[in-house]
Amino acid sequence: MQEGKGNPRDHTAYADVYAEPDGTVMMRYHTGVALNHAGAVLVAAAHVRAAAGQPRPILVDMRGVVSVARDARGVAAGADVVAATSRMALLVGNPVTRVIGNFFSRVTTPGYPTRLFTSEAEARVWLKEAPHEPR
Amino acid sequence: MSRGERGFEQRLEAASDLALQIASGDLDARLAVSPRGDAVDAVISALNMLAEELANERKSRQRAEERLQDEIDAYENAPALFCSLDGESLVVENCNATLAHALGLGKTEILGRSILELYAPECRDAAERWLRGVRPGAAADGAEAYLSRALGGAVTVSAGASRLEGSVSSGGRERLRVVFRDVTTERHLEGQLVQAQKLEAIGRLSSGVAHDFNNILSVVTGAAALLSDLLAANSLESEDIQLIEQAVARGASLTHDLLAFSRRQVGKPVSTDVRHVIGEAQRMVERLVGEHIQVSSEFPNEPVNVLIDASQLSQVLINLAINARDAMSGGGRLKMVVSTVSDLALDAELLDLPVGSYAKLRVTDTGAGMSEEVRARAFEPFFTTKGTGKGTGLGLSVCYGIIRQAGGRIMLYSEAGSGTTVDMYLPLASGAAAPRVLSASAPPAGGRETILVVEDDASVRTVTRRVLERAGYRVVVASDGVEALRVAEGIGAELGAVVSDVTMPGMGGFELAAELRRKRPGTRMLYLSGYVENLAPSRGPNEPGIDYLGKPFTASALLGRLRRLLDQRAA
Repeated sequence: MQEGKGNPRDHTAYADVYAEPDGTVMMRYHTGVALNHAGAVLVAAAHVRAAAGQPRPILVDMRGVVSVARDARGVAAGADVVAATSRMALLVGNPVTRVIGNFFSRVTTPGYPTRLFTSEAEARVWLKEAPHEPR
Repeated sequence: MSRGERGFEQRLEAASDLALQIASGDLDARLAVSPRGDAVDAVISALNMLAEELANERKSRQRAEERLQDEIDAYENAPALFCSLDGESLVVENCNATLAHALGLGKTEILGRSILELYAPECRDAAERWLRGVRPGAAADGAEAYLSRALGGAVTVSAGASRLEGSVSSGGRERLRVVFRDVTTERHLEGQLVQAQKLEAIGRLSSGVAHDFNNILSVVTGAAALLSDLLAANSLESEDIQLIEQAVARGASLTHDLLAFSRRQVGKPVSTDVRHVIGEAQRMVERLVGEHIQVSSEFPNEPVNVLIDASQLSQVLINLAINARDAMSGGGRLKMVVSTVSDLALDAELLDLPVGSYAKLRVTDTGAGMSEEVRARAFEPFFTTKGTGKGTGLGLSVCYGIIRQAGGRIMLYSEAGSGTTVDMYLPLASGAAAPRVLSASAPPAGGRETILVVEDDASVRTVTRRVLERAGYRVVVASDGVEALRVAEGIGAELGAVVSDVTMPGMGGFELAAELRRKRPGTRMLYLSGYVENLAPSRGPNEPGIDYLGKPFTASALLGRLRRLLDQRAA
């Protein structure tokens, strides 16, 4: 972890994770990532740290992801991550990331609102729409 | 077709094959997703994740099936007896293996039958009333009842039931769930405890009666001896005295047996090899039972030593032999077997014995056996199935008392028509068997010493004084320990011995001896008592300077024992 722009920033082998000034957590996966359980645990820990003890909206840019193992998806639906998340916008690109995103939101069914976007701007608008809506 | 189109087609075929593999159950099948991330990759990715989900589902199902199997096993082998019934017909629709096992039946022999058929006939009406009275949604406990075992006998059960309202799956029929708890062993042990407590209470009562009766007999026998000395031999009056003495002997025999039963009989427990006792008793038993009964014995080559009075153990064998003889009027076999055991946990009835090694003495006959009612009361004093005048009903009571007094257990197994087996367990003694010595009876003798007689019973005191005075002793009397101390003070160094009762109001015999010996070490004590349990080991009859004479005693026994004590002192 290192300090940047006054906010804590985690660089993992899989993704960069940090809190933006407005409280939104940004999680940006690196290109070509095949996420396994261990990687998911590292990223989730960074996410929880960035949320600093409050449920926050999170924008997950997963356009660089190639695959996500089932148990890795389970980590993102775990109790610690749920407690740190008010809603999650998944930024997808190619058909593969779209399928992975859909699997996560419809099959893994995390305990917070999740939606897929192809536009980062639209995703941010949605995240700010009702950041504390009931789950 | 262009090269790009061929490549696309090949990847699409691979994705199709992957789908087929997954569909055929190969949930480990995967295909790599290319960095291209196009639509075909998306399909492959979806199939990969689908296979993973299905594999996880399969594992979950397997775990659930294992859990279900565990629950089925727990149900089948639970320590309780379960069954479910049709609420109207009371037909058993399901039951667990424990129920089938308890009744000695297969499950298929139970399913489809009315549960009432499983009950012992005498319990069926009550069971039906109870089961039909169980209301929906409420659990109800039933009375204890008996379930019949396939090969005879019964299982004692406590029961609970609940009625389930009709559901769609049961076609709207009400069902009953019944749980039985097998309390057969529990009730058996409780019965034994009650029986043991009853015998203990009877023992205490018998002991008290015997003690008082012994005092009376001591007076009669002493007075008879005194009168006899005044009468000419062969006179009519002398014959009357003999009748009195014979009656006293019979009375003494009764109190002796009662005290044996209540474990208060005077005995000298020494390390005794059970094999020798059996060997000696066998000859006597053979004469006793007659030639129509074959007597045999078995014992190990090594000594089997227990701490018991050998004559008392012989008495046990004789009593059992008499019962066996009476049960085998048409002939049969009587067998005595000695062995050693160390694992008493094999028999629940021996669980209260301390852990250790035991001698097991089994006496078996092939006689008429006993009904359950007779067997349950067999150890009770005066309980007999023999005709009037043919038995006192004390034989087995005496065996019970002697074995218990030696720290053992005696158990009786019998069924009408199947003979009787008596098992006795006695703690093994560590030391070698003591040599058996035949005691020679000393001729009555008197003396000139001063004897202090301490006895709270005035009649016994008087007779004892007169017997001693007649033999030449100078006798001083006291009615309790406190008075005896004062009297002894006045006698001073002339005191030869103290003849004292053990149990007296105020200061008893032992306290008196301790006090006297503190002031005058070496004071000789001859205790008179019908009890043995008050004799602490350190003050037992074998300690020098102390001797013990059981009541009722004859004049010659008193004189002989006292003379021996006084001569020990002189030596």
